[in-house]
Amino acid sequence: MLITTKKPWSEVQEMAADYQTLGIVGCGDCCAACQTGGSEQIKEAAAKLTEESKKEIVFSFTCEAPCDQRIIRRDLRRVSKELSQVDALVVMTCGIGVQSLAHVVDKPLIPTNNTQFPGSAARLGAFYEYCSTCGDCVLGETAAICPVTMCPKGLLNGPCEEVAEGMCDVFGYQKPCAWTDIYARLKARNSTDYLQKVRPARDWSSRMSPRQVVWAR
Amino acid sequence: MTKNNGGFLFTAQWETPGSLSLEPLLQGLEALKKGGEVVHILEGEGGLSPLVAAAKARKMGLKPVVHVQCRDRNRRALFSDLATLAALGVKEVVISTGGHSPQLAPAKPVYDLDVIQILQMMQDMGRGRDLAGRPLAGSFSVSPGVVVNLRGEPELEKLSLRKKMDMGAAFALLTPSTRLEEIEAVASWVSLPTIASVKLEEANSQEIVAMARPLMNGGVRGLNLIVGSGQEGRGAEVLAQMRRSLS
Repeated sequence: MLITTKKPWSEVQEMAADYQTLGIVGCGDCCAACQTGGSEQIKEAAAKLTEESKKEIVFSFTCEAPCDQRIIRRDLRRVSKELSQVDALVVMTCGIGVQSLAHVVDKPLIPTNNTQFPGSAARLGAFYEYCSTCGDCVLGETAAICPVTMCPKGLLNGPCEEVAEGMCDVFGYQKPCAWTDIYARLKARNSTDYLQKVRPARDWSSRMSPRQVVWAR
Repeated sequence: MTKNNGGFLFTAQWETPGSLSLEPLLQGLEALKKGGEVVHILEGEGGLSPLVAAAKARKMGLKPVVHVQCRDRNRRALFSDLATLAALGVKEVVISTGGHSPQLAPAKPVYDLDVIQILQMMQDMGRGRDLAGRPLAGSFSVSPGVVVNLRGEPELEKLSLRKKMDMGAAFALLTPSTRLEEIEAVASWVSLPTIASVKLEEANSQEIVAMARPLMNGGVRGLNLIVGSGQEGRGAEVLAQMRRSLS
């Protein structure tokens, strides 16, 4: 899922300052899990905007997947009359949701969240980054520990010279070195041959954003 | 690897000073020159370019060994630095990843290439090829050293070093330590000419001087004294004392 955190409310208020009538769109998937755009957070935002900022909330809803333009377009069709009455939309999604919305509706959008990373939820309120979406996965050779992400230097060919007792210098030696962990797992599986593989420099031309995957028709 | 003193090499390692003039750099090099002819040069935090330092050092009659790090430069900049060093007549470099700096934490780290990939690029340069595989004018004969981490997982360090040797690593520089047994334990399996390192600030002069002979007898090929800013004079004196202790 995509991990989001709430923007400071003052930032949202500032963006909403020029608009009086608002609609609110939340996310029933990732942002609901992160408690940044589920139904409870929509209620809280609506209350704040009404009571503190004296805005009029014309409609609000949680979209099951606002990152899917087909679904958000369908949901907006259901509130087309109300949509025509609002000055702007408060969007409680990730950045993908905001931009998907911008593709299907011509209204000023007020994002309430900061998008952090694609992450894994270990428990409620504990989200961890495991993947950098590099587009060239090496997990099959690194015992399912991503060196691009888990090594803050993104090294592909083994540890750096700053490791001390298996801990990483970037985090003040408070977090483990990814390559030491990779070695330990590969050793346990008698697969340290993978460590001898020379991984060439990445081809960044394939990572130039914006990227796209479009199936041939 | 340049040797002196009966085959044992004494070198100073020094970071370029942060300055908007060349004076501190020239003064530092002049002071270090009294300690010997080989000086390892790293880019200090906000320091002057090691390329300029290498050029100035060569002019003074010093033999600079420039440390090239992955942290701050992409492959184009690294290629340019290495080509410039070759053009300046620098014969040896040390390739390392580069550590994290809490003071400069907001800066975007680069790490476009890792050590293996820089060594690979140097092999290509040696074959007369540039980054895009095009012919490169002139010859490239810069010998790369690599760092062996005394505090790393030993078996993993061995595997890493093997890989670096396969990619052309010619000598090994150990991370700093004042513990002889720790240095000797690692040096015993490093199958490259090995230079130990010690930080001037981490021991008194006599202790450092006393390390030279046991290290030489233990198969280490040299001792690299890491000298901080403002310590150049003392560093040169300790190096001179070490040299005298073996003569």
